Amino acid sequence: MSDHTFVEKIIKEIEGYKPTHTAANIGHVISVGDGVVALDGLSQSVMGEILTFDEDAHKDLDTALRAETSLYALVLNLEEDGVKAVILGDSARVREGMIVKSTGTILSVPASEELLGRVVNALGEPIDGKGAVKNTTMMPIERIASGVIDRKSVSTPLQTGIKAIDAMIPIGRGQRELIIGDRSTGKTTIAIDTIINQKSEPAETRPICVYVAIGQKESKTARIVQQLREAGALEYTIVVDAAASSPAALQFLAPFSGVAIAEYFMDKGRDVLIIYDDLSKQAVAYRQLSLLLRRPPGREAYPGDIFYLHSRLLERACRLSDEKGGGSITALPIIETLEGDISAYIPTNVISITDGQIFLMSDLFNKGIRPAIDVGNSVSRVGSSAQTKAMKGVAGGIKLELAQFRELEAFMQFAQDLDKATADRIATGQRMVEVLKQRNGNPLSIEKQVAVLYAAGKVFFKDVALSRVTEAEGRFLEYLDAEHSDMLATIKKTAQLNDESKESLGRAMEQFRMAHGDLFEGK
Amino acid sequence: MENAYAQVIWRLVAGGNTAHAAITKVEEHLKQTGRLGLLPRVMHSLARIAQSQASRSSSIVVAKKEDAAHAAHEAGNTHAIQDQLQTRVDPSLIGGWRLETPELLIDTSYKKALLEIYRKATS
Repeated sequence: MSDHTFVEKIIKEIEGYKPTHTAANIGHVISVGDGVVALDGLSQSVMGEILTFDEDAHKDLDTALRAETSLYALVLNLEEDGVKAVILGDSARVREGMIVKSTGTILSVPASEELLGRVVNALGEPIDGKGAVKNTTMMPIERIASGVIDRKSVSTPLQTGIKAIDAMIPIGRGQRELIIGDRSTGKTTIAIDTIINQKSEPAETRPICVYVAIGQKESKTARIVQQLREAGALEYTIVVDAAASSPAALQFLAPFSGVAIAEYFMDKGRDVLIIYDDLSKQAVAYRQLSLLLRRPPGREAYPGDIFYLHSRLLERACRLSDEKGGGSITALPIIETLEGDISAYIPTNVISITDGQIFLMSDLFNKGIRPAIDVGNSVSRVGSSAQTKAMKGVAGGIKLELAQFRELEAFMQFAQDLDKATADRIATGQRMVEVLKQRNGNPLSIEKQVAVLYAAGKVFFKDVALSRVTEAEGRFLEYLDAEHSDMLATIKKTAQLNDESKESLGRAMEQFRMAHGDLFEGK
Repeated sequence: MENAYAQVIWRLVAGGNTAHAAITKVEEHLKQTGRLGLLPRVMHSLARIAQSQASRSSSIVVAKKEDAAHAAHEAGNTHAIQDQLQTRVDPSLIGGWRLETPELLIDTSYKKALLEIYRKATS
């Protein structure tokens, strides 16, 4: 802004200024510590209300003008002789005796289309250095989830681009699917690949993606943003970041801010995909706040309302009825387990709230099976009704086949003594596992998934050496792309694998086998 | 816990008991329940409540001492003030006045107006 424009703006503001003598309900800081402030007064404040600290008092005009942005607090305890609030910022700025003003507003975050491609903090303030976001609508971070009448059942698939998930644990738009596993088992990778895969969707039906990073290292979030940017996925993604260095209050609020932004788009009839990475860290932040607020601790020192914290958040993910615009929020919460223990307090809570879970195992990950999905413990309770007919047709028996393979796997060490039927079943299972492997950042379109799973189901890779199955799969897909793109286009368009497509896919498999004899001689 | 006992003492005194009688009653109760060890912390908490109540006086803040009478008159005209007002001088206000009661703040100072204008223009 030039000096001239700025002076003009100031003059305009002075001319239009109307002094107000409104009375503000206030309180005084009694004590402050660990991000929690105890206040007296504020008899008219309500739960969840935003308070603002009067930092300008006793400062001269020049110092006040140069001051940082306002400091806010969120009321979380209403007590007999005052209130307790969590400071949403640097608590070192708070002094004993400081005046705190009630704002009369519940915490809200700004939302707008301009947020797409931006990184914001838990209060919706941009932190990517690209300037302020304009034309925003304030969305309350706490909102009652849509009721039964306003919802409709999940019927549209959300393609993750990951074969193992789209085939065996399908996710529908409006579903809540938990991603659970130990540290470093690829939980975030699944979430990010799902965001990247949305690029293949037509722009008008492509879900808006919201990635909420809770208690993550700044370096990890920066890497994810870079990955999304390079994949061209940032343009339809909003990143809400409450880093590990942020106050616990912001880590507790970040998922609610993310879902408030998601609701802005859902209310406009858009589909939204929201990822909470991860809710274990949010639970820990909430436990810290609750203990500091002197709320009674329960199991594992979590407060009594820890279940409600997650249920009220995840209930906001839904598919709205056509009368309400037909928008949806699909939630992929992430939970980190310790030593694969899914029966711990927070994991069981979130498992019971969500519509299914994708369980990742360290053992599988270390064996090189990636994504390291434990098919036996993973389930999608509503997603199958949203699965395309083409995928249903090819994926029907995979889960059972893999389960049988796992049963027989124990006998593999006696390979020489096995009968032919068992040996064949093990060989098929091993090749199916190889086919379901997928590199990160490499989501596959649905028609290619259908083609490759159809081929695997027809034991196409039976004569391929185990070590070359991935290579054979890649070359087969390249071949289909080059020679049978019309067939792939038909599968994509109709979302069905009719007899004609099956026939041409069979022919393509035969032609590929003839052309790549070297691959099929290595059993 | 100690805060709750301190509140009880405060309310007993407010209800007409002498401070000595109120404290003795609470001390008796603590003895009976085996919590006498809490007493020093209760007294500390009571001191905080008393301090907090003492600071709950209303004041009018002006930029110059000579503005005080006019400010008090203006404040009294616009808002019903029941307490005795203390006058404080804060030159940083530049002009106007600021009424601070335990639960209420009315700020008509020039500093607030200028800050509002500046923040609107720069946002």
